[in-house]
Amino acid sequence: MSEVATNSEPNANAVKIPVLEREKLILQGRSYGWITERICGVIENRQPLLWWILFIPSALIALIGVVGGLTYLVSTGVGVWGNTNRVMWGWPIVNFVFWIGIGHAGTLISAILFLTRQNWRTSINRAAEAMTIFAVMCAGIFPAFHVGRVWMAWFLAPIPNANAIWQNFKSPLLWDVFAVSTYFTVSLIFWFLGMVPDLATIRDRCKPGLRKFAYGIACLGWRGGNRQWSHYEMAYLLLAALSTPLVLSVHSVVSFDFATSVVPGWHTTIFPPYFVAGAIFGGFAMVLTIMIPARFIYGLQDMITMKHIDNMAKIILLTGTIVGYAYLMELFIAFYSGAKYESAAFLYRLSGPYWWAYLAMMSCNVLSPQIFWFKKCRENLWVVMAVAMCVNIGMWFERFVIIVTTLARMWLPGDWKTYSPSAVDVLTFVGTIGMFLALFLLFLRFLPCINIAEVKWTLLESDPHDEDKIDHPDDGVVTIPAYQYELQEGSKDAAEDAASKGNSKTADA
Amino acid sequence: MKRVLNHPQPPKEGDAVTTWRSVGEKEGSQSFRNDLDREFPNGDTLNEEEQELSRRSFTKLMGASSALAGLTLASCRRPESYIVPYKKAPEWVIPGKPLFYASTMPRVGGAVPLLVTTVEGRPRKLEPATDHPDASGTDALVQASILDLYSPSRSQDILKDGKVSDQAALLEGLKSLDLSKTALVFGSDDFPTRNRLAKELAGKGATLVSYEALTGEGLSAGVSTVVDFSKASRILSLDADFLGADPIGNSREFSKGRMGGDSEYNAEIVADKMSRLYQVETQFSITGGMADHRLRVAPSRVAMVAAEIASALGASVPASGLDDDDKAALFPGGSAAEFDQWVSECAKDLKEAASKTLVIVGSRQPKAVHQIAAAINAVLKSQAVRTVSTDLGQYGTMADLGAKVASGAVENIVFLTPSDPAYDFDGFEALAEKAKAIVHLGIRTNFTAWAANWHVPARHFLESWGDARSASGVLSLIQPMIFMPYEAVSELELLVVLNGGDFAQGDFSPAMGEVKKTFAALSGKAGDVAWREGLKNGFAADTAYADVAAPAGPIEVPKSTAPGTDNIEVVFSTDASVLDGRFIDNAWLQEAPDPVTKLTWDNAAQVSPLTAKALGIYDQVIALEPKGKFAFSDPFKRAAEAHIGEGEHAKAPFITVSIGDREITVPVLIAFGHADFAITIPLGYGQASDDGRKSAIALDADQPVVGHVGLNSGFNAYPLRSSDTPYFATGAKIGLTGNSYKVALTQEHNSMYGRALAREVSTNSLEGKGDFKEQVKEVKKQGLDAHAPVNISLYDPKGGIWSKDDAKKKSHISDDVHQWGMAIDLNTCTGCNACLVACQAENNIPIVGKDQVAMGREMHWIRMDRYFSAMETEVHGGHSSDTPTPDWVQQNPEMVPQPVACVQCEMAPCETVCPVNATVHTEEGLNSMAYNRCIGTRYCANNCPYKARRFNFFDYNKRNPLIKGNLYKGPLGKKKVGEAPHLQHNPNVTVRMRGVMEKCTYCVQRLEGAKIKQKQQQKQKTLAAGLPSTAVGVDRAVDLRVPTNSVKVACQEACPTAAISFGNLLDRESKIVKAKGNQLDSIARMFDSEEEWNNFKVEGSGRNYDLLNYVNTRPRTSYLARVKNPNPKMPDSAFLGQATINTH
Repeated sequence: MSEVATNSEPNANAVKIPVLEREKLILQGRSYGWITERICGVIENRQPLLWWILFIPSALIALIGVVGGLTYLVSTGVGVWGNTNRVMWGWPIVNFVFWIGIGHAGTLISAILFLTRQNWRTSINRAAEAMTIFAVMCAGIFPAFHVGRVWMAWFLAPIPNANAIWQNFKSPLLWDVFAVSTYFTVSLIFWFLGMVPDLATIRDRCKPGLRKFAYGIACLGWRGGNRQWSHYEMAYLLLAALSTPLVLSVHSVVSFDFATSVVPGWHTTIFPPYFVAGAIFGGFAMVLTIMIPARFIYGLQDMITMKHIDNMAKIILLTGTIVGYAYLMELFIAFYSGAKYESAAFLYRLSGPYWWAYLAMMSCNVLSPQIFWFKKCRENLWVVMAVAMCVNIGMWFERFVIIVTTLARMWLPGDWKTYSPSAVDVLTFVGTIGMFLALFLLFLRFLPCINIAEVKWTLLESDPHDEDKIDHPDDGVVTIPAYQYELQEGSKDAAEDAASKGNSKTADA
Repeated sequence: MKRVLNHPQPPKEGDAVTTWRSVGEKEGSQSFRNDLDREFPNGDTLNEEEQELSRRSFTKLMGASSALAGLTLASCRRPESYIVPYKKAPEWVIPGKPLFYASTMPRVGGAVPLLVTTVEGRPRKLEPATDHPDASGTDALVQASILDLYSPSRSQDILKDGKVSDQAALLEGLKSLDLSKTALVFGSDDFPTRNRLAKELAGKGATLVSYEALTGEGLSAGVSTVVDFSKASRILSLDADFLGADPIGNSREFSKGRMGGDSEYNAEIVADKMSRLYQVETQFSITGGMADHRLRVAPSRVAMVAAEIASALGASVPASGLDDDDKAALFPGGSAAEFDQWVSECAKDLKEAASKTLVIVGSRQPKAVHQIAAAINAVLKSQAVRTVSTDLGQYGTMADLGAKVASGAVENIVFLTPSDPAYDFDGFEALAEKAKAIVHLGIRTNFTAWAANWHVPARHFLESWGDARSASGVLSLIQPMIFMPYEAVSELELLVVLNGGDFAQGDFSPAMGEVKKTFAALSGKAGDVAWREGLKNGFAADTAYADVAAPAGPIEVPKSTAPGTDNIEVVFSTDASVLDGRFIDNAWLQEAPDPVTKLTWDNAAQVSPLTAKALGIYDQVIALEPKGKFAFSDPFKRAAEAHIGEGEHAKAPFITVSIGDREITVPVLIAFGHADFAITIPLGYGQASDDGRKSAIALDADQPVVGHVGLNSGFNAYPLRSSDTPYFATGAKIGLTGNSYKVALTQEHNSMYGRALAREVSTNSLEGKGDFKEQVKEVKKQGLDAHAPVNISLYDPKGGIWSKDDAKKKSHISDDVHQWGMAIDLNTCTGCNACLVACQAENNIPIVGKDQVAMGREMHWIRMDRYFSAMETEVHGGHSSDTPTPDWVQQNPEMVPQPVACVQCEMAPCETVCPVNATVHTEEGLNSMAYNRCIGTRYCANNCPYKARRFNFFDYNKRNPLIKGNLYKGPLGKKKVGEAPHLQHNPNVTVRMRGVMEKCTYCVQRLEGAKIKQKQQQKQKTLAAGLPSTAVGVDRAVDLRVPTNSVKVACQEACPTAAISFGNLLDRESKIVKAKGNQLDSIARMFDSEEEWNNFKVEGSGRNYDLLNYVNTRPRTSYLARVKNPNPKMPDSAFLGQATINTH
């Protein structure tokens, strides 16, 4: 070090430029080995008791609610749900839009943040994508099974048939079928492709046996060669480019289900951007809801840092405000249009029989995220978790307000009638929550929940010129250390953790 | 699923069947039966109720064909559920082709002439006969009466002391009755052959009585009035619901009067020619809804008000006894002056119309009111009413019977009345105690049936011979259409037996001979030719009642003390669904909403809002929507809403009503326009319950009086009613219970919320709105339509993106032969539900049960919306002011019904959103539904602004929705096996399975039938000319077009007031074009040049408007605004006819 200082002597008296150090994405100077060890450890070690405590009830609820509920539904009729001839779409479609909204954050994080070179995404993208896949699966259940004759649902597919009836391409519902299925397919491929190098890592760490064989199949013979990396990166880039418009299109298309109708309260042009913002909003809230506990359970604080949480909180603040703007703009346009039916529809949201749902939506979605203007609040995980839960609830109510309140008060007062869900409605929704959790827990158990390969790219060592920088520091600058919330907290735990595993490499940095 | 063709029962001994398959069968030996069981598992072993009758097996079982077909083993296979041709076809029957027969439905106040549609031997639909002198429409009760024929709870076996017996034993039992000690209790309808046979029996010493629970005494027995609305321009109705539950006169003629005499829309209504209706009544009736001026009075005050009007007209009637306080009480917030003005101006108006005045009285009002009305009619020399003599004078009353039974002069009673005396007559116990033998003839095993020694299942009128008098007395014939395989006997057959005859032997019922005899006597035409002609027409001409002088007698106006919170007056009303209780087991009627309260499956008491407030029950009933609970208060002006929770949460509070020591518990609803300090309780409900409810008779499972339909339906109000106060009672007290009862209402919001939906104009000049003509001109501009810009579409209306040649582009609605359209005239629509039930009968619409209705899942293709509207503030120059209107205006709103079915939008929002193309537009302008293609996304229904689509949430057609929780049991639920109602189904209409959407199709099966018939005629013409079909040119518009006004849809055909017009918009002569014009863009596009179009287009009535025109759906069904014709001098005239005209 002293040698280096001598070399830079001539500039010693020059004015030094203050430079803010980049926040570290991986804390404690963790090494490649530590990262691999820690992430693979989630899969290879015994699952903590909490995993079982969560998994068994989730799986049971999924079994009863989804498998049982749907069997009952299909054998008996859609009438077991609460839908009526007035409110033809009730909870099922509310739940569909809710889940599909949640499925937005994953691909947004993976694709758009990838294209914009936001390296912080690497710690959370895998889990967020998994969440997307599972949320879309939960979402798909509802429109598929809410139809009266699910055994005829194949009519929605453009299959050439003898009676030469084609689909109605004017129907937003058909667009929905294509949009959601495309989104699901691309997201699944994107997720899987990103996982291939990591699966190979796990394969390599396995003892020979069934496990190794399975991971071997799954990793498609990945050897880590340069050609493979080159192809992989190109494929990943292309898929990211393909996914990006899908993120925006899926929820726009979902919003068309409402926006293209003639129903007062649905027929508004603001719906597509408002729905997309809402979906990202709700999606990030769900990522937080799941990741905050997961990073504690598996000790991933050094990879999923407070910076990630802070960033996500900021996105929630932004999208929440956009959503709030949309809510107010809807009200303003309803008033400004002078159209009686339109203004009445919105007044019934405010003061009609479902005013409490509107109140829940407004307070949860618009007011609660405003707390994130304060850094202290973004740093307090309890607050973040509370707001994320609020947003989850608020976004569900947003869909409830849009669908149920509107349909219960349409054009002719003679047909007005409110709606209540049935027990089977509730059971099926709870079932999908169970299914979502169970699938996510299985994901944690069997697949690498953080992108091992990519997260390493964010380490200084990944920079080919890293050592040069150490050897030849820039004398013209004064480096101001980044604000690293976690440096004090957690370091002790992490060190002890590492020590207990007898991994001496951790101390290298 | 395979259907089992059940082998017919082996003939009983003594039956006139002469073929057997074996000796074993002839002898009916056990070994033969064992063989048979082995050969036909599930076949012969099931009895009739357990068999799921297929159409084929049923028709085979039935009538002559089964005798002809014989019992050949060759035909005994297990067929699939395919339609199989007859081996030997019954004469005339072509599968799928209906046959029509004239018949008549008997009822009090005039039998209803009918045309019965039968398909393969099954009567399926009742249509009004058109060529009968008393031809009118049919109401909901008539339409639904066909369901009783197939009712699974119909009585099927002869019962002796509650045990199944047979005809032979019955014959013996009847023969043993001593006629001189026997009383016969008939219904109150006029039935000439019955009258004649009864007279013969009376000659042998029998006592004759007529009894129906809810038929009043009228002027006097044997004297009736016949009214002719065509001769009436001013009508004063004293508590007469003549368009509804108390039919008097011909509704079609009344509606013609409301149209200014021209019901064909040849010209706009002329205000001066319009009739005017003054209605004095307690609870809102549909007649009251049609009235121009309506006075709300407690029932006991009707006579007094009548006396006031009569004395104002100079008729010699005693003083009314109303003092100024009484008068002021009728106008809350006003004074006696308003009442006096009401009476004097009404009287003046009647006087002016002189002989064109008609005063009619509800049949249930006391004799005095009938006398007063007769006096007014006499003073004004009314041409519109005749007093006639009927044969009903020979029947005594139940009071007479009671006396004779008590004295021992009568020992045996034969109940032939359609009412149920054990349930609805409070002196029945005394009769039953004394009587030695009671015989009951009835279609249901009701309370009287179980109380009787003998119960004889009655034949439905569709399976018996008979005759009846229509309203003006025309002899109308009843002929059988079917013979259900029950041990049933018709009334006439029973009388023949009592008269020494025998039950039917051989082919013909002895009743036919008797009817034929009466026909010959009354029509003066004997012989088979005249008889056949009579059967074909269904009536005998020139057989109307003869006039008779009105019986004179002193008039006594009954006095009553002023009603108040301690002296509530109770009206025992006839229910629109169950009548006096006899239709309790009719599912269509139970599910049809009450025309005024919109309540289904139950009865509930009704009180006015002011009374509810005075009694302290208002807060329990009215829970307004949470106004202003959050941020904004509701800025809309709205009429008071009776809000009792919505959907499955709707609950009406229980009250107790007591008169002396009689007390019942009923749920209560707020009824707008109800008289203050009076309560209306519909009768006929609460016949059986198994849920422990109060004020209903507990179900006796061994002696069931109802099937699944009537179980747990409503509350029994008969215990509150005594034969001294049969129609209303005074001095009742109302108590609170704190409990509530789940009610199923089809409409829960009663106001239009400032939307010009059911539009209305007034013949009075309105400040800022001009005179009647001006108002009619502006009908299309009412409400938001005054401000909304012209609807334009951005898309090429011809839509032909594939053709570059503009001329070749075609609209998707391009048929140049037929373009269907409908107009509903709110001016004549009374909201009576006839269309709703007719539609149900025509289109195989299932019922869904109370719980499903409460949720909002009823399946009716026509939703009968009904709005109340009262001016809350005064309007000056078309703008509302801050001055509130007096209470008596606000408490007496107008009632406007509006039937809403699919309006067949040309630019249908439902069509664009269906992902699988299951709902598409036809070239003839129908919005059609392909059930097979529908997967049930329900998006179409969400996007329908009229909410006219209905979804099959369950297999309503397959699973019985009336068994509690059955729908929710899925495949484990009970099927409707063995229940006959599906025999009523229309074979030309698909029975929808669960999971598909359905809605009004404009009766597309009828349209297609008419088109096919038209095409066949062309073919026959060609054949007749001896030419090959290619040799004859076809002028599409002439040869293929269905003749003008010849095809009718079910709702239109049933409508008693001809409010529905339907037809081809391309036919300039059709009624529909005259009503609504044909200026639709879709039709204009069919013309090549502007000039051609200008020559073709017809403007139609100015009253025509599109519902929700703002949405630009371009509906094919439009509405014609209602016209109120208030007397400008009446105190309330400034507040009438303005339901929508001031909305912006």
